[in-house]
Amino acid sequence: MARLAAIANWFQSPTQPAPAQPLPFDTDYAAWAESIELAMVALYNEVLLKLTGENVATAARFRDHHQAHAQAYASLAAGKAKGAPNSALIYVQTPALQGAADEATALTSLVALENQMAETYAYGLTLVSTPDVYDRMVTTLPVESEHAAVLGTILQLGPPELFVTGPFENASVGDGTDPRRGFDMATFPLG
Amino acid sequence: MDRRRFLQCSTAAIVGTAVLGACTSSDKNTGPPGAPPTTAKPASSAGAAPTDITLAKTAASIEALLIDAYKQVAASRLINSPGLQTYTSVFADHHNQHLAALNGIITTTNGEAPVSAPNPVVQDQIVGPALSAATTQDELAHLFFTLEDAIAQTYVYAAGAMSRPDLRSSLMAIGGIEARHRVLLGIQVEQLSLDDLFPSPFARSDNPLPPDALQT
Repeated sequence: MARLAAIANWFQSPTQPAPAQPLPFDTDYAAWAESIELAMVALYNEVLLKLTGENVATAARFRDHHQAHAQAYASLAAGKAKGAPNSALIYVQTPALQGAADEATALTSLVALENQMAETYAYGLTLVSTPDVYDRMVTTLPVESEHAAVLGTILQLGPPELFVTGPFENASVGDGTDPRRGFDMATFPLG
Repeated sequence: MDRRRFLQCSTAAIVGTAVLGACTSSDKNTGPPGAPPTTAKPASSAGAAPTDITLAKTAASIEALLIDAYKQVAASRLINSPGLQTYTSVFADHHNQHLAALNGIITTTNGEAPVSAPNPVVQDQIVGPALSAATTQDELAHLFFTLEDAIAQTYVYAAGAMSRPDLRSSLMAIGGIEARHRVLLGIQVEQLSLDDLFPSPFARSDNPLPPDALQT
């Protein structure tokens, strides 16, 4: 009887046991996450030059958060982390930031990037099974969502722009052109 | 007291806004600067980790609690600020959609009845008395900031404890939005500093709810 109950429970909620060792894909993902976090650090450094007053301190704080996130992911990457910004993301995003004509445009670009980081992790959570890796993503995602919201308040955005994907973070990725979709590992490979 | 331990305050400590303030006024992280949050897995009173269905039902009951609380506040007409009125309306709509999504998990994945009632433990011990005691817009705003703060942390806790990747993603698709609610109220209503809002580069993941609030 107890065994039947256990089987029924398994069918209702098929628990997947956590792997004893980090899965190779998951350490790949952690290394990749380090690279996009370091890209965010570099992109913030580009934008800092265009900001004034308290916005400089706010952006510097968020940049430092991304640095801390990068370090955390690197520690989970089983030696695969390269310690370098994701070059494809830098290549795609830097021209827009460098070309921002004013502070508002620069901040708008940061809002989009932070939204995309949150969407990236919402999707990434569907991929990984190693507890240390998904625990780190779970504690990173909300902070990046909050970055987008804080920067949005500086721009005095309304709810449609503060919640660009509506009542849910969008668990999908793309080529970086759609602010409602995160960054695809295939489009922005490690390196 | 750590702000995020608000929902673990005793019944007596939450009745009366003066005490409510004392229960929520300090949000300094007591850990070392930049220290990662705890990631201890949750345990029920029996010592075993709660199941996916328990976590989904608990989150749904907290969503129902917030929906009910926002309805009461709208009916009370205590909130006069247009900005706060907009937020409460938008956030209430979000919570309705979050509850529907969670009930989709509960009914489809687990074949159980949907959750529609507010979490009885949090309602009876904390939110009911606090709502009754609040008489000003500022007190209500403070209560809602604290509730949004707690529910955002609840999702981080629950997502880390879920057994399946798709469920972890689904919960954090909601949890990220709750975090936005938290920070918007924190900045624009509570006028908190970034030090207060970001005591660490990482979100906290310990359970902010009373232990008996889990819905089995």
